[in-house]
Amino acid sequence: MKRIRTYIIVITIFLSACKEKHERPVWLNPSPSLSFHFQELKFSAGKKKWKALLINSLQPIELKSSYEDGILSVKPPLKGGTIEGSAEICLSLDDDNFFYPVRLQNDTASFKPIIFRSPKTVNPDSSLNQQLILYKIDEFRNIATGKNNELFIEDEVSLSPRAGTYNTADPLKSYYVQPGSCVKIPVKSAFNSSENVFQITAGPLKDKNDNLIADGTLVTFIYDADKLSKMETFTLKGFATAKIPAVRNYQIYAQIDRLISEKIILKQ
Amino acid sequence: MDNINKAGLWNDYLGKKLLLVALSLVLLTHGVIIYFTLPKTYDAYVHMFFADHYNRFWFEPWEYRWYTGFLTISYPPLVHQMVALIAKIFPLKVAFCIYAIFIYEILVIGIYRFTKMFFDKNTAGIAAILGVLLSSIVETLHVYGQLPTLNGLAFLLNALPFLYQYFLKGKGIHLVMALVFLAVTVSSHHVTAIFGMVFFIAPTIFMAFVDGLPQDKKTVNFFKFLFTIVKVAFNKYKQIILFVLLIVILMVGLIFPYWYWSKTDPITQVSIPHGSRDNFLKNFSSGLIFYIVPLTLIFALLPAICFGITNKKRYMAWSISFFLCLLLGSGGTTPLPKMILGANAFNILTLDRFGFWASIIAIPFMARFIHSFIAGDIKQFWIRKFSTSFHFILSAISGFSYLLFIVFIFHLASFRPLQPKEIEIEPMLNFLNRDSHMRWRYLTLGFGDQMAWLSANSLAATVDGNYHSARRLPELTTRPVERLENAKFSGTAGLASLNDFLTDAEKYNLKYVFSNDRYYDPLLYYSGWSRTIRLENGIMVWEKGNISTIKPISARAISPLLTRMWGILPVGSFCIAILLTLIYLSRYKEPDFFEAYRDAEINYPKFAIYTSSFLPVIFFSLFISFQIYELLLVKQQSNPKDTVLNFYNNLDFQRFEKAYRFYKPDPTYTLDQYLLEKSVNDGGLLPSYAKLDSIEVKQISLKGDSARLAVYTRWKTSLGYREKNELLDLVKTGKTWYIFPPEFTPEIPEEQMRSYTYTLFKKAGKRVISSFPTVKDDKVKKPFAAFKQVNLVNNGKINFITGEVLNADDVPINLAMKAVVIYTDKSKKEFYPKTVFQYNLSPKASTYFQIDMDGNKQKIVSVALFLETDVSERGYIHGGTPGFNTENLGGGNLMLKTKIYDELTTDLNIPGVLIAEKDKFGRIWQTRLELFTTAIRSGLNREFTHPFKTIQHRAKMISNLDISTYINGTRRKIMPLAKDDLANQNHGISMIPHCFLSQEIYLQ
Repeated sequence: MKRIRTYIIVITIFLSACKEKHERPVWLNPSPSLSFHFQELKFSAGKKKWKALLINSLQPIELKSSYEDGILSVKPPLKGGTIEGSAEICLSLDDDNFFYPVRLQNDTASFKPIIFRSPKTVNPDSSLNQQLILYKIDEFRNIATGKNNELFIEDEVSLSPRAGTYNTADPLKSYYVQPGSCVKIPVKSAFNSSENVFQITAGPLKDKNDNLIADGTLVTFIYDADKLSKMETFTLKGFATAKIPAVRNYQIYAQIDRLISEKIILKQ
Repeated sequence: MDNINKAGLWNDYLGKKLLLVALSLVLLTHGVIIYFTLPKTYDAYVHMFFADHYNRFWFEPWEYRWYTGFLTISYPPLVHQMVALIAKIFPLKVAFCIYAIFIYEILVIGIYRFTKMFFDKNTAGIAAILGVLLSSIVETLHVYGQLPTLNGLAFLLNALPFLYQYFLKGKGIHLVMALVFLAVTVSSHHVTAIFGMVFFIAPTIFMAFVDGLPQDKKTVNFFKFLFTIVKVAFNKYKQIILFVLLIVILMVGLIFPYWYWSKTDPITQVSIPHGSRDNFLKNFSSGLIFYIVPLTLIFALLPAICFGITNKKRYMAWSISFFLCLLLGSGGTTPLPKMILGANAFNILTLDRFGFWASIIAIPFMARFIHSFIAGDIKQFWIRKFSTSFHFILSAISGFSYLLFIVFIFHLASFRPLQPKEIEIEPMLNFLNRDSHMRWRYLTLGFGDQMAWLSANSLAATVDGNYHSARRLPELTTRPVERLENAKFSGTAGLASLNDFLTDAEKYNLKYVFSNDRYYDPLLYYSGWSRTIRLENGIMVWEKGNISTIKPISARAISPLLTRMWGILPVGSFCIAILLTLIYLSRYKEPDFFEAYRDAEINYPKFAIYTSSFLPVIFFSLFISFQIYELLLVKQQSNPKDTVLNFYNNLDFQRFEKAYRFYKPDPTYTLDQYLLEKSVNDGGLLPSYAKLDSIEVKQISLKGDSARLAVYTRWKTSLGYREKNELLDLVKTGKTWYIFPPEFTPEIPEEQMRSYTYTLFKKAGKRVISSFPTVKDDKVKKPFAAFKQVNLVNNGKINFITGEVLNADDVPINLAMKAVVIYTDKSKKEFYPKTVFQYNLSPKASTYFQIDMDGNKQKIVSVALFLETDVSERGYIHGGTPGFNTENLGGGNLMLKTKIYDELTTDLNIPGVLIAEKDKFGRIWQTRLELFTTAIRSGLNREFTHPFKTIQHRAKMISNLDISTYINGTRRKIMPLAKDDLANQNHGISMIPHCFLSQEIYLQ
């Protein structure tokens, strides 16, 4: 009797550890293509509680389901849209998952035209050309196809050399034309007796397209006191200014990268 | 009747009452103070960090937050896991305190039970009270924060009486109890478990064997006695084998992942110097902290302990343990510890733990003496010899002076700060949490152990860490550096290690540095780091551009079985120990078991009575007096040399008011005047960013009351050592020597108001308010840059790359450059420009650079130079107008006279220039950064003379090797070379300013 009891316990434990294998539910109203707000999907699923998911190319979306007479009804998502294209309905129970491939499409779509510019910032020192890519996209990030089934149109434009920020309706789509390199450094000086300094000004500093060069550009004033000295200044609105103590006369010139101004003499 | 009751009330169960007093004292003293001493300890925060790990990821042994990841199975987990469990309810710091006090209580019980193996319960009660106030234990908790050591010891001491009973009576329950307590010891601190076998368990077994002998066998001569013990051991071989077998299984099994880790991933860390290994005679401060302070009471009572522990044969093994521990704890004072342990173990272990164990072994014998002194034979001796009053006064002075000494140790970390002041961590946590800053690693500087506290409270990762055994980064393991954050205390090796991380930040995705010590500012600035923001707690955040986010690192795989074992067995052993203790107490405990084996009163000889009665008074009174003398009475100006040394000591610690008192008192030279002169004359690399490394004072003349001294000082800065020589004149007034104030020559700028114009930039950053990564449209383009020239130069055994880079864009840029060199053996190495480079450039600005390459015997096959650019809004002003002329001294030696004019509206705190040596074609042969040690005030000039050695005549330019240049990942051509006429007129020298400005408005 003891032995039988042991067998019963062992077999019970063994059976309780075994998992039941589930049959694949049959899709009763199959359709290769589904709109996002589809009609209820029906599956013959017995009385088991299946979990339903809609898996598109981005994410899984949980679907509500109900049972009636062994029929599993899967309801569509309440609102919104989706990335269109290949998707799968997935029914899960325990560790068993069954997939039903479908093609998803939105019921409604409002496409907006988008212009993508590259590069967003151009510098006339290299090129003023800009590549444009035009396409249409809806709120769920589906791209619309054109007349000839193309996804986008490519174009190239040459921008005006006028430096500045070119606004569009969307601040993120603004593009920028930078000033180029300085082509000439006019230098002038004045003696400031109240401070006993020479005030040297380089400017207006312009590029080949008559734009003022960028603020913060380094202008080095090189002068020969008892020692060869280099004073670094930065431009603001096309001008760079330096003050040199007027302890003697100097010969001075300004330099931006490899561009050099004419030499001038500083005298009190 | 009443009298009998009153006496009985106190005398009945006196030992247990004393134990209760001790347990209450633990709560009243340690329980009250631990929360406040905790932040100042060495290790408490490290253990809290580990506890935080288990709190967050109990079964995950991989901890990614330190050292780019390490395994927590590298340290026995019990203490950390217990704190983690308590931290599920209480805050982490409170949880640590609760567990520490709980363990202290168990330790006191352990001391009580341990002492009962030797003496009566009353002595054990006194031992328990002694355990509350013993300096070595107090120091271990309140100065070192070493909770695992105390945890291990507490359970070890509780295991010993069970083990003793097992070997005496052979009952299985005692073996089980001993093993469960030892299991907890193993799970909490492996070192205590290993050395505990030698120093505690072996003597216990020996004592059990001796106590098991009949009385006649105990009184035979020494050799016969030893022979008898060996015979007993042979007779009990089954018990011994069973115990050894089981304890080995426990030691291996309980923390098997630890052994597995230490076998498969052995520690490669070079030895890190530790004060406990010093020669204490040469380095007295180490001796004080690691030997004298923890063992003062032991030294004071040494005659009594020595007599007591060598008095009986049953203590023989204990005396060997005690003296061996005492010897090993003396560190490098004698060569013996190194000979005994071997060089390897000597250089890895911290030897103060041996002194700690010696103090624990001595507790019963100290308690025995104290018991006799306050209520036994020794008390009677003093009363007979002198009077009751004498004994009372002697006891009172000894007791009070010892208590004062203990109060001192409680606050040792306050008197002699081991850690920087407490830092509020919330601003740093907020910084790390916002704007995805956690996607990069950070580094703290000058935080001390609090870096572990910051880590424990954040999920962000740092390249540093505070557990040396676990680190595997070669930049750390190959150098004797404790932590990067306190690199300045590890000398040249420490700064070299820090320099590696700051330079090669990209390798570790290190983007942010939280600096609490301006000492590192020069190194950070000249290594290409820019200040970003000063947080509300005063911490400066430095940032490096062009650093990629952390890439996923796959954790070292550990078998799931091992991780489960690690998470369950240690805590399981603790729970079983508590459970079995309750069962044991209710079912198996034999009252007064030890009575039969205990010793009666020890009859101390007069020598031991005299010395051990007076030494505590002398020791502790002297110690307290010495501290008071040091604080208040020491004469710092008794002779010219001491005057100068103390003066520099005050200057080094920025105690300017105290330093001023060393100047000759003069009504025209007030403290205000001194500070004013200092503010306009001082500043720069040495006064502001240096630590005094060594000082030598030489007396040139001493005539009557005046003296002249030459002072040589060596200063340690984050950019290397700097030296300074000065002459000081001193005069004696009364008995005090004073220094003549330096002659002050004022330099005054001409202008009353100065102005300077510069352009501020603001990078709009991410304009889309979203926690998702920046969208494509919102990304700022990579700015344009160009290589003006790149040259590979060989100068003797050294190869280096020199060149010039231009910011060709219209915005300021931040640059990151590296050279990748491939050698004939196909090995690849990366090199960086380190400090010889301007990392931030304004539009159209250029910088010279030089990348030194390590000596590699292999021939270079190819060199690729990579430049990354990023839009920056700061750091492009390098300050000052350098003017220079050159003097040819012959043999390629030039003398450069550089005059720097400060045209800015702030000081040039570290004036510097980047010097390029060019040839007649304009090619750069070498680039050097020259820094000057004194600051320049706004509107003033300062001239520096410095030698420069040209290399054109002996170096060669390697032109047969094509250097490929890449900018932002795209191959780019090098611009055509241009002559530099100005350099040609100045012996080929060209320079650009490269100064550090501490004023944050200049946004370096």
